[in-house]
Amino acid sequence: MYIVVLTLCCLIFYFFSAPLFDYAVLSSYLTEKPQYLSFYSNEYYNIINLIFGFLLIFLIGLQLCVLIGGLLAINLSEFSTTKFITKIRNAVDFFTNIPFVVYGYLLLLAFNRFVDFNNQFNNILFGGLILGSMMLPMIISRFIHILQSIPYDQREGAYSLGATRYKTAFMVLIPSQSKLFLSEIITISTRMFCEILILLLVTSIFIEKIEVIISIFVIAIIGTWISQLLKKSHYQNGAI
Amino acid sequence: MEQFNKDIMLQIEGLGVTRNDKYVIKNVNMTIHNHEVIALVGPSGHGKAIFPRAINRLFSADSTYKVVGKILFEDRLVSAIPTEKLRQEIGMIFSKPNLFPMSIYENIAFGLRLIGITNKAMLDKQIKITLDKVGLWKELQNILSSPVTKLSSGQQQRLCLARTLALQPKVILMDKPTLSLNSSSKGYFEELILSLKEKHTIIVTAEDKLQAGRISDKIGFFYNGRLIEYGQTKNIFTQPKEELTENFITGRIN
Repeated sequence: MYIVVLTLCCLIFYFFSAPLFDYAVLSSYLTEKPQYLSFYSNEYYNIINLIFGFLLIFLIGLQLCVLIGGLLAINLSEFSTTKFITKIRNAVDFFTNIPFVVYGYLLLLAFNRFVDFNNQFNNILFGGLILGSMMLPMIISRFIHILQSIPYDQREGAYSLGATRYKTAFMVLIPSQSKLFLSEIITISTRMFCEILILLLVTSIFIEKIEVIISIFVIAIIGTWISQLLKKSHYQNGAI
Repeated sequence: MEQFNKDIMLQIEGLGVTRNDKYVIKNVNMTIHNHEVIALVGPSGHGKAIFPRAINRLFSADSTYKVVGKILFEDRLVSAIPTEKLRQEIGMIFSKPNLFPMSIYENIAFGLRLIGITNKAMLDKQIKITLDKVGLWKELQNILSSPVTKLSSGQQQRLCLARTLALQPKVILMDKPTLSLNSSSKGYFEELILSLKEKHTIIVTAEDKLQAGRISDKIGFFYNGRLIEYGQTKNIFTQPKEELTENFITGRIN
């Protein structure tokens, strides 16, 4: 695995090195201090900048989708009638099947219309919010699936001791399936990771910045490798 | 309202339960006194398991069920008591041990934390007392932090009972509590029910009429969603008033 990752990184650098070195020096590309730059500025981009920006977008998006998605899933699964859940789940499943790039763009444009950021929609908070909203249907669908798979016995046991539905959800159901929830969050993170890369790639091709494209390839390979390791270690610990 | 007799724990008048607008229990009238063991018998699917859930208001979470009639607990209307408070005073255990996938300690501490006991020393003390009541303290005192899945089904069911007893309920409802136990565990559990009679009122859905005869003071016979006969265990077995009851006791109705 290590060899494959290293070889891929080397190959990418080999093929893209000529245009890159015409543009900037490799040492500055790797070590220059991060700066807050716009994609549309003419200044040079370095990889550290991209990695930090990428991680920030990722964390903001993850927080939003896990918190709001988790609460919505609990609400739909524990507080709604079965008919209502079925309707919502059908709708949610429909949205889950749409390629995320499609409504990533849609949200980008829609957000820009409704929220006035003086057309500066390329900030990190905005990226995180869009990404989090994109992942919401998927995380709701998966969390509802986990909650519904818990036998009714456990709920009945908690209710008979005087627990409210809210307390039952947070004190019994979620702790009892914490490993499943965690593995879903890991899966969602991997998906999110790819979505950010696709969006960044499309944007960078659009603005024709070769160093951004290379950085994205490098981040993609390393990130996929890390997520694979994470998944492997999680499943080996007996989550599923 | 008439002066409520202090000896009466539960008074049920005209209780009916509908599922999808069809009656599963109809017009049940029953008076249950303090420190009695009431056994509910009848063929399966005739409403005896619905009855304890109606008292405990476990149907409030399910919109397909509707409960009509009046249930008085001590001198209060059950429907007027907050659900959480009611379920702490009227505890319930089920046919399958439905413990939470946590440690033995956490399972009992769950209910205690709900009533506001969060002090570690207090929790330890209460857990020791309740486990002692169901005869589990000696067996489990060294493995309190291990998961409940390691226990046998008999121990699990007794732990369920301990979890309910920790809240010191006045009434304990049991829905076929010995269904998943082997014969020796069944015997132990029945003895436990008899010993709990001193401090609690118990309503138990009996597995069969013989078990009802062993453990109960009074028997209620359910048939087709109606309470056909309700009286002293001895009388039900020796001098049943209704023909249906006699048919059930003699084995003509299964």
